[in-house]
Amino acid sequence: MTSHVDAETLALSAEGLLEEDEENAVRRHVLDCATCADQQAQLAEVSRVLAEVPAPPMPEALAARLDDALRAEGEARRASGPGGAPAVGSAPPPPGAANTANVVPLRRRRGFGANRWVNYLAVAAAAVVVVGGGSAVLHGLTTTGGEAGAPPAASAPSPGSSGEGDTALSYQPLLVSTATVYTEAELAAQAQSVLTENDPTSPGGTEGDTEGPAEANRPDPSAVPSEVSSCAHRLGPQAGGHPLLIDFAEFDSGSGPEEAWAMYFGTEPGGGTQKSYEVVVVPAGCAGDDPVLATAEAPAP
Amino acid sequence: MTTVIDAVQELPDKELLSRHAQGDDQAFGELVRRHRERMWAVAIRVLGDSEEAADALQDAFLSAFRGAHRFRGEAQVSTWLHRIVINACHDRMRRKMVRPAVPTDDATLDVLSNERTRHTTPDPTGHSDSAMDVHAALGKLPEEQRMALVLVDMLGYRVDEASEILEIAPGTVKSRCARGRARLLPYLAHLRNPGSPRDVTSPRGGDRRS
Repeated sequence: MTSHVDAETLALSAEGLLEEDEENAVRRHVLDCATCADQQAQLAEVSRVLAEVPAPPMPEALAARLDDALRAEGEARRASGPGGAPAVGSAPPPPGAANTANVVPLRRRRGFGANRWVNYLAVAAAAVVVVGGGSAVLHGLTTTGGEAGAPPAASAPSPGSSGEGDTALSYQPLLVSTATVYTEAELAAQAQSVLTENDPTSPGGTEGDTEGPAEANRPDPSAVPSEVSSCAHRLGPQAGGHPLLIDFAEFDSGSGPEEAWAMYFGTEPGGGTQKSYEVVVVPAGCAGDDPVLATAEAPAP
Repeated sequence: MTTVIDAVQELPDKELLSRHAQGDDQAFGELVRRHRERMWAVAIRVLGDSEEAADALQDAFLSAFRGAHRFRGEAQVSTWLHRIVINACHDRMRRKMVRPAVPTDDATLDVLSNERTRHTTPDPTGHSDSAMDVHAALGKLPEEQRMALVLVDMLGYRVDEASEILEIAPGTVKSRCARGRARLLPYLAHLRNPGSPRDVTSPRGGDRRS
């Protein structure tokens, strides 16, 4: 071996991640090469330097600020009803509500790129909290209409109506905005992560959820672009299923994140036996003859 | 949040979260008290900026407050909270258009470093140039490598713990750490031996502190 070993190979070697042949070659080379031996020693130092970086302690004021924010949130919750369901029905969406419950960025500061969604996502997010089942149910997508007074989330993907063989979306897809920046390379892993947090087949919710002022907080179907529904119908046959989860997020094809919709198609709307999802990412608006930016298969959580 | 009965303080995390989901007013406050220091430690190291970290922490705890019903029993509550904090940090970084995934040139790095100097709350423990250098260097990493290194190298989590928090395989944690360390090497070399001339060891050359 004549050329030096690059730092990455040395680092992978230190973690025991190289194949045996390569590992042996690296070892032999390092034994005879002062430069690489030194590099190897410096790599070990990187971890030490990182471990020793001082970090400021939590500011005192932050503890009080967190308490205040949570107290306000708690008051909103109490004000919304004695049931104790996690509801913010009567309160405006607090900062950051324009997102799903598991990922709540504040959109107020330099809300680059995402603001166009906020109008209706804020509504959707309020519903996420109200219904408690983690499902923002969009009746605008159910071309059969659904029962207006039905509890929206306790059994979101499995409404009583059996729409078997029906071309209409006789179930209710879960709508979220996870702020994920999907990429082609990472799509499968990202989808899996999103599914873990937003399982469209999870019943979720508690008793109290169905008593909340759910109807008032249901997302306004007219606020969601109509393209969402038509896009789902368009892609359905190709993806071999029905959209069970739609993530209003972003996609980075290498030239920066663009708004995009990630549609998670499954074959078992309403069933708990979903094994995997076909994930199809399209640009927001779903325009073009072939809008698909990327696809992947992700196992059900 | 004012009076917390002893019983609440004795309860395990999962019980607290479940009580909170059922409407208990005290339970979540106790969870916050238990975990906020640790969550701060994560956020400040990922973001390197006190103001951003404070915002991220508030985002995260509000998110957890609202999303408690989403918690499923398999994970530890603290793991779940870590994920939420990491997500909040991820979002902050994206909003700030600090995009570690895109290689930054040295000028960008200097700008970042200067911005931090201007905006960061003074560090009562003794604001150090080395901390600044490390954060600037971390900013050059792809985010996934940065997250892994923050958890494993900076905060001392075991690989399997980081694996669970980041929801990736342990081998992936290791390889992200390894690649991140290799990438950091040129930028941290001078810290190993503070006496050595920076111009020699710093890939940037020059003295950006002047």
